[in-house]
Amino acid sequence: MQRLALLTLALCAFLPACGGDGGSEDSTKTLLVAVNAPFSRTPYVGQTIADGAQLAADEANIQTDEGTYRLRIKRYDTGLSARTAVRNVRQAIADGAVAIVDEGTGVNASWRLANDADRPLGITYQGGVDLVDLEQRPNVFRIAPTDHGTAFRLAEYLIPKHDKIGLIVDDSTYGQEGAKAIRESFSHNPESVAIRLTVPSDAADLAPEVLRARRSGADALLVWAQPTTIAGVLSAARSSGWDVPVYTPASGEDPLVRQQLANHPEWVDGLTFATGRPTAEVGPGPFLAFQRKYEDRFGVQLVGVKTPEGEEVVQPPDYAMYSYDFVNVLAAAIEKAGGVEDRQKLIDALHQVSVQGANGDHRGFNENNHEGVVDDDVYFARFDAMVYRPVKDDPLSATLTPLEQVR
Amino acid sequence: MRRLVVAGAVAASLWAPAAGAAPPPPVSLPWPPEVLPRTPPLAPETTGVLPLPPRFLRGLDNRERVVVGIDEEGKPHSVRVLQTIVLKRLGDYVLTVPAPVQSVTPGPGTESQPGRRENQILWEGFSPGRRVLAAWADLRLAESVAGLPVEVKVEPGAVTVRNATGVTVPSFSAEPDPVSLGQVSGRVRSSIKADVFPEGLNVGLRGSTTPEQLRVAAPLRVSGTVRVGGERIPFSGRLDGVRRSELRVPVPEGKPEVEVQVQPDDVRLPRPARNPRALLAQTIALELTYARKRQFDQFLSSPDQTGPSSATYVYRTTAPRPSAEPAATSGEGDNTVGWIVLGLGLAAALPVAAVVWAHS
Repeated sequence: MQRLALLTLALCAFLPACGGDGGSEDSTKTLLVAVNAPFSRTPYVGQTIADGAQLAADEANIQTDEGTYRLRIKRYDTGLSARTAVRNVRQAIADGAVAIVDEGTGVNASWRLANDADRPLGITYQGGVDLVDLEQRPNVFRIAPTDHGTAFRLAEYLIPKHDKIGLIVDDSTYGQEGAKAIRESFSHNPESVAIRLTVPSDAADLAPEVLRARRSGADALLVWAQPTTIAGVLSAARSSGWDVPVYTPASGEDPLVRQQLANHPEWVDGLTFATGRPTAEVGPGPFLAFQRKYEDRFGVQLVGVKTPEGEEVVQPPDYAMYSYDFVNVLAAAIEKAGGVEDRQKLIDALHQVSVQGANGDHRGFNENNHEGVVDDDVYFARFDAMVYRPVKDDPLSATLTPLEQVR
Repeated sequence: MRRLVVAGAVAASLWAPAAGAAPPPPVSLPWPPEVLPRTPPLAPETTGVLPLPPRFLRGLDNRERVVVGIDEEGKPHSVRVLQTIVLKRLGDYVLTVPAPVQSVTPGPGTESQPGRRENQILWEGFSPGRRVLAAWADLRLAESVAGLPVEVKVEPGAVTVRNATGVTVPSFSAEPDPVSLGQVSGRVRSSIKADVFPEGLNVGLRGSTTPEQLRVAAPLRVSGTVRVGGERIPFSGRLDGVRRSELRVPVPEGKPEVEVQVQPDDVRLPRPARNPRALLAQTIALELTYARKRQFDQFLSSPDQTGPSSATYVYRTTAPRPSAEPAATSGEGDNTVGWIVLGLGLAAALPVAAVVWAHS
């Protein structure tokens, strides 16, 4: 009897059908998707990426001939450290993740680990020019505005308005990637640049740098930096009585800027940032539907400041829509590839599928392009009384509907 | 009394059609999408579908330059298209152009980057009022040559350019109602003059139709040069594809290098025929000739099928590029067989080796 049991066990070892996960045809399998983001250092960014991915994972119901798949999200904190980010990707692959949703830190090294394991890596925050490379990094995709697109849109918008622009970047990876992009976008109009400054991202006081910019004759500042640096520049300029217009990339809308200037809300007025549009020509309907789902699931994201009327200001989940869209595209690709067994087939399928994005736009990649947000989609919004609205003096921005930001 | 009878008979004969059975319902002129070949524009059989409907389908211009590489005999060996789409109003755009594409690269002056999917060129973004989208597309030869408007033949002593757009299509003849035919004929003519596609072409008939075959072709304006040695021989002509289909250029002995530029030409409007039956035949011929001409205005389809489009085809003698496709018997296949043989050999050898080792 004992021999029979041993024989049965031995036979089972050779028969895949006796294994656990293979199961019957209609069994549901769960696939792991890693979210690699700076949850501890920039919680707004980390949280928004993870929540967007989680929402899409909750909704995913992937049907293939092999069965049904569901997605599970696991968070890995980078702490904005490239070294930790790389370690996280290695761990995520070891954990069996089928794809990585990434903020962007450390991708210059981590993409290779993911590529060797044939795992797609989707960046949903950083827009660095070199992060995505169709030829060299075939497994890296991005759904987020590119620095290239943002910088060119900023140059296109600012140069006709201002005679001399002061370009300030900080020494963070984000700032340095931005420096590359604005160097290129302003290269055809060097006469429009009053000064270029790099400031420390952890500087307690930026008054000397801002004074240099003022003395250079700048009549506008473009600050490509972390939120704390942007708040520092605004603080230094306004406290010295310099009412210079300040422009930023997407980091200008980070709640941290408003939180740091909560005692002087008027200093935020006029701050203009460039980012991907949250609504499309079809109107705000799709984004509002997404926002409702998001807030039902995770609650509203309070900025921590109030309007002059005393209303609480909330942050729309605009960056969450990118991770949400990426996970939806991933799910569509898994469906097209018929599962995840053939990893290369999954990456190939990512070139061929599209989904309707959270803002109503078409989202997807193709064989020529791993960027899911086209440069045309960058718009400008300006703060007034702690909430922002699309500007009216830009053709794209003028078509967009302001989002509700108070509760 | 006799006059009365005659008058009555005449009146009855005039009245008869209205008083008797109802006149036959109007019939549609042969509908171009039904009777003409589907291509051009090129339409690969399998094309991915977007999850969203395309946007920005009106208010755009489409221009194409189709560059055909031909060998020493005039046979095409490569087809490239520069497609330039100009969006002329503000708004989002999501456009796809079905095409048997091998590769797509940005074209001159483009303000957006073209995307590529299986058998698709993909455009998306926002037009701030005017936006130029230009892309060079390298096409798969086998799926493209059938849509080219001319054939070039290089033989000793002559280069021949033949209009290859001619097709024989089903049509009909009939005795038409002159009033409705007059309206339809006028609509066809005015549409051709305005370069827009005529619609609603139904004509009343007096009696039944007789099926007929009709030869139609896109009229082409052809010009070019043949270089042989130091000599340069220019040529030009209009090939309507029905009355005149070929242009023969005598050339001296040598290795001719040919460059031919081809453009669909305007459809010429003859004086309207007086005889209604002849006018019907003339109207059908004009309608289909214009439709055939418009097909060659779009070698790749325009996102706005009914909007302004133009195409210029340039045939040039060039050396064929080395094929990028792998040879039929690749080294990989041979290696695979080798690995299998090695694996089988090892599988057989290992137990034998184990037995030998155990007994040693």
